[in-house]
Amino acid sequence: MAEPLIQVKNLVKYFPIYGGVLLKEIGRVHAVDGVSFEINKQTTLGLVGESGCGKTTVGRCTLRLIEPTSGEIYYNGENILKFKGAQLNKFRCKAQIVFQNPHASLNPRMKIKDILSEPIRIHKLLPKNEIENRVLQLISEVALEPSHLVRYPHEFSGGQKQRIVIARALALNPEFIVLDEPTSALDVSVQAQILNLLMDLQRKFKLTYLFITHNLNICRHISDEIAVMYVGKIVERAGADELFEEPLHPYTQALLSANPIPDPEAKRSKIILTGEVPSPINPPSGCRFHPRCPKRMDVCDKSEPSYIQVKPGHYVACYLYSNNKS
Amino acid sequence: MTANVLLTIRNLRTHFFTEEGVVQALDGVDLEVYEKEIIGLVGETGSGKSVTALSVMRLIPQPGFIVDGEIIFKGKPLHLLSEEEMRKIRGKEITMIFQDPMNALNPVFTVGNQIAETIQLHNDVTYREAFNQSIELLRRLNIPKPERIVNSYPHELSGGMRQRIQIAIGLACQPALLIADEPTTALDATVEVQVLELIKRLRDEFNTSIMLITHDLGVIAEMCDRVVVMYAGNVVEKADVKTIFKHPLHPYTQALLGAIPYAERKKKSRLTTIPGTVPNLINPPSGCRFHPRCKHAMIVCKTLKPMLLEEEQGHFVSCFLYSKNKEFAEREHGVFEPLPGRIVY
Repeated sequence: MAEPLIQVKNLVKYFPIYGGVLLKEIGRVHAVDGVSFEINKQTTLGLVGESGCGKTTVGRCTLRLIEPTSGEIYYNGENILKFKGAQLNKFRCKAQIVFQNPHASLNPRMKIKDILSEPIRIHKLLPKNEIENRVLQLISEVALEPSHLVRYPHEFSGGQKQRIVIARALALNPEFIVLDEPTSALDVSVQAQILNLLMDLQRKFKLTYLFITHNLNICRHISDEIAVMYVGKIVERAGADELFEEPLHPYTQALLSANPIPDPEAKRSKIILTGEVPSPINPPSGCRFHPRCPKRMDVCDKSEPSYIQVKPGHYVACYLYSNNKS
Repeated sequence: MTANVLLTIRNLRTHFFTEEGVVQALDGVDLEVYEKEIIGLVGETGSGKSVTALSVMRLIPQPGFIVDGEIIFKGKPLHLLSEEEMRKIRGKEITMIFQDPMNALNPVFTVGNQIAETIQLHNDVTYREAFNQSIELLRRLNIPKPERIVNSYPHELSGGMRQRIQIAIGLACQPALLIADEPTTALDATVEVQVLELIKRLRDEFNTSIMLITHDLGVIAEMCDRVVVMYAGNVVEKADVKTIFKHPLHPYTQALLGAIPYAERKKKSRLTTIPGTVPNLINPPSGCRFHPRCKHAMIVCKTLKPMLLEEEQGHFVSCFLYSKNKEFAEREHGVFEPLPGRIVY
């Protein structure tokens, strides 16, 4: 039986907005508003959504790079929000992140060997004389040459830089990696190299991924499970194939139909939504999707649908599928 | 097909004379745009898609120059026109919309003002008439509440709406050709469909040809009639959209199609990759510019540059694997050594 490595319960993160003469809090960005999910060991959860839906905030909260407003996050059964000192340091070794823009993720004044050995030195993971071997091993894991170690980041292309960032994330033998749009800044042919590399590394080092992306095709390719976010909420979560074959939430259906298929003869029935993604500062009442929903009912703008399991492993938050429509 | 040719580009070379050296951004581009068609230009960063578009508009930034080739639009040689003559064509006959609508609109003028400006520039109308025409134009584009939108400033509008305004400015004078440079890359998926559907409708309603530049093969498959695949400043393959996707000939096109993950493909299967990266165009590879990354590379690829030749009807490819280019190599080299060993890197 698969056991969860990460469990997130009712995660909430509001960012205050300050304004006025006295810089008082005049509002809040409801970036993440009650999100729950779990990721099983050695699997990949894909988190998809449009810009501003809170997917990056979820990723950073699960690593405690930003403190959530409320909620619980369990790593191997322990609540990481209670971690302090040495325990937190240990967690930081086990959980790593890869960011979207590889050009901004590497210190331009450090050589690659210093970049890769820095986390090992900080966490005192290895004695000094073994660090060099470890760095050589890391660089070969991501298919770069040992001669690259003495160079500076500006000498590399985007794809190579992303490989270095991945190698750095692997330096501390992590179990869990948050991949925040790791391929969006890259070209198609390089993107394929990085995706293949990530899948190989997952098998080899038994890694668990949280893969954040806005690209549905990539998400299906790499994920075991997919969660769809809309304005701070997860609206649907299911196995990757099930979600694509049988999307339940009207937003997921629209998102999937909007996905361009690289096949000119594919059958297409587009659901074209009106309007745009609402602002998370003042989200719509009730179900947050109701102003754009083609299947809107009376109840949708009054109260929020609960997030329920409709089939084994398939969760959805929509009144079309819940029995308690009161 | 006897459609009329609207725009012909022949052997276009645009180079940028930088301090580090000459960037050969375009190295002999050949393509044509027919009336009322949507043609897709696809390629990776640095393949020359945008430079091709900017060359047609004669808007290449310094220090870039068209060093060779011709651009014929409706019988007029655009590359020879004076700046003044060109200005009469830009915005009226050929218009361009850009990736980032925020940078393309002027933040201190209202939207209606900016559309009316374009109309007034090319037509003999009063400002009031032009302003009313712009409301009418927005209505034709199915933009909700056009009377209110014309009085708003760009920052008051969402990304998708700004992109629609750019399209409206582009269409203000009913151009024969609209060049759209990555029009939906900055937009979210659900807004992207709205804008793409709008662009598709334009062809029928305004009889406009559209040159769509994108790196997204999904968008190409959904929108285009014909596709031009570019690599490092060259057109490597050119055919109608079904042929490109079902029966690609050039190894680069084949690899590019294999590299995109998509829903119907088996999950977690390995993607085809192209080793290496797009070459530096200051010092591009000799011969075929794709040969260092090509898995079929032959000796001839390194020494001789293949031509874009019609291999099948309407299907042009620039590769020595195919008969027309083999004949060309035989003519040039005397004898074409049949596959004299592969180059190993």
